[in-house]
Amino acid sequence: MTRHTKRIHDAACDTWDLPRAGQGGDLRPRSGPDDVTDRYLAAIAPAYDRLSRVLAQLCGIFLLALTRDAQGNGLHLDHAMYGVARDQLNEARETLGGVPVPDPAHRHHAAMGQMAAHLSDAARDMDRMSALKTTPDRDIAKREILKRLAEAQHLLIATAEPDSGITPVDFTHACCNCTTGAA
Amino acid sequence: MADYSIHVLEYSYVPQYHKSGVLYGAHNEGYVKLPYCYVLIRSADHVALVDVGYNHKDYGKFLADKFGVENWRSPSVVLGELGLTPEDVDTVFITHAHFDHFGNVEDFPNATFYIQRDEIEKWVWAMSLPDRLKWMMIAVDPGDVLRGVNLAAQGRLRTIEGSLENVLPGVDLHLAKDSHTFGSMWVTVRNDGKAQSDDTWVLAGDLVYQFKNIENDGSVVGVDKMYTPVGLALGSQMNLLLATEDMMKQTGYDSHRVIPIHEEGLADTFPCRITKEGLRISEICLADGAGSFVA
Repeated sequence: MTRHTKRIHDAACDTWDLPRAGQGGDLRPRSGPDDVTDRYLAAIAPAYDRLSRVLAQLCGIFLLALTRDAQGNGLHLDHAMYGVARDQLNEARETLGGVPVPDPAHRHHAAMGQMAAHLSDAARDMDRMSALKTTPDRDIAKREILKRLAEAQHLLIATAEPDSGITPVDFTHACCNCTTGAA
Repeated sequence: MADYSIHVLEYSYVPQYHKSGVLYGAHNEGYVKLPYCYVLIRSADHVALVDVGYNHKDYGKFLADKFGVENWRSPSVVLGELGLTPEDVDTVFITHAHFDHFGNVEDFPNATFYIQRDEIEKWVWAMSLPDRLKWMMIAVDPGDVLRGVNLAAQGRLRTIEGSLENVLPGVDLHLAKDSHTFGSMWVTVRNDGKAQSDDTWVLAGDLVYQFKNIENDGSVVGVDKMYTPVGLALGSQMNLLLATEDMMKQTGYDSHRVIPIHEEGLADTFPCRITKEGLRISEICLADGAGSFVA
């Protein structure tokens, strides 16, 4: 297993000062780099990737629904990918639940759990919003969904560990992945 | 008569980009400088941009450390060189959803944005694919899509399907489906306002990185010049070439009227200057009565 040079954010790091992050009271100070943390990061990576995708999917589906709504056809949540996103979210939550969490990673793991919860709430609210009839009700629902998605995105950034390949964007083949020094 | 001034504005660059990324098949041919730019289209009535660059706050250090992207400057600094602020921008055309084109929408609070619906639809689909197909998800940041949602919620994002003429007077949008990305778009400026224009400029987004993509040496296939696609085609090289043909046709096959934004060689074709921040401003054309910003 590759030994990583950068580890999970310290428990006292400002990164964790996020809305609703770390309220469970189960977060402990990190104890420093070790193989246990490496194993945790390797195990958690698929769930992170899945949650990142779900966030993009829900955002994209909501964007498409809102722009269609703006054209006067009403908000329709009939995009086939909505069901796929919910399935992927369930898979990610199962992975999260099955990962052994070492002491240094408790706060990281809790934040990922919160991210999944926000995404789940956003998906539920999107489904409910499509049934709302009045504009004020829909505006309230819209704001709540945007808030959930934004909180999920904050946590996605906070839980990124780029040196372990846990990052919201794959730059591997991007326009910038090009220097002689690039790996 | 010319209604619009057009400037290509460099906001960052990569000093050494592998040439095969610019030009399909150019393996082991070394490195070229790759400017990162957006395009300003300005008339008496409108201030429009083609793409908005990336948000240094989110990506800057990571990109600088990992990939050598250098000298990022904010839209305030870049547009300030032309006497504008980001708040002056009323229209933005997003050519595709890669982070370096769609990653800084927050800096333009008064703009209405346009993007192809196919671009979003298929990214959403790609996100559902198994890991073995993850190559299709490169360079898209969920955060950018979220910012797009916020724009949509504010009524400032329009998704379009295919071509849209006169989105601004004399400015048309065109879809290059399944080419560089799923729903890449190019922007055509008919600067005399005529339907059959004699003064057409094409702003190519990433459908063309550099002039070489339009006028590459064709001796390998027994012709003088030939189109050669860029190194990254999420769709197909064929669709990139067909889009290039469509763009060239619009300009009457004047290759210097198809404007690539990753082209350091714009300096060889158009008046330009280097700002005090070390970034290039290329002056593609001037509206009637407008003064030069590079003289």
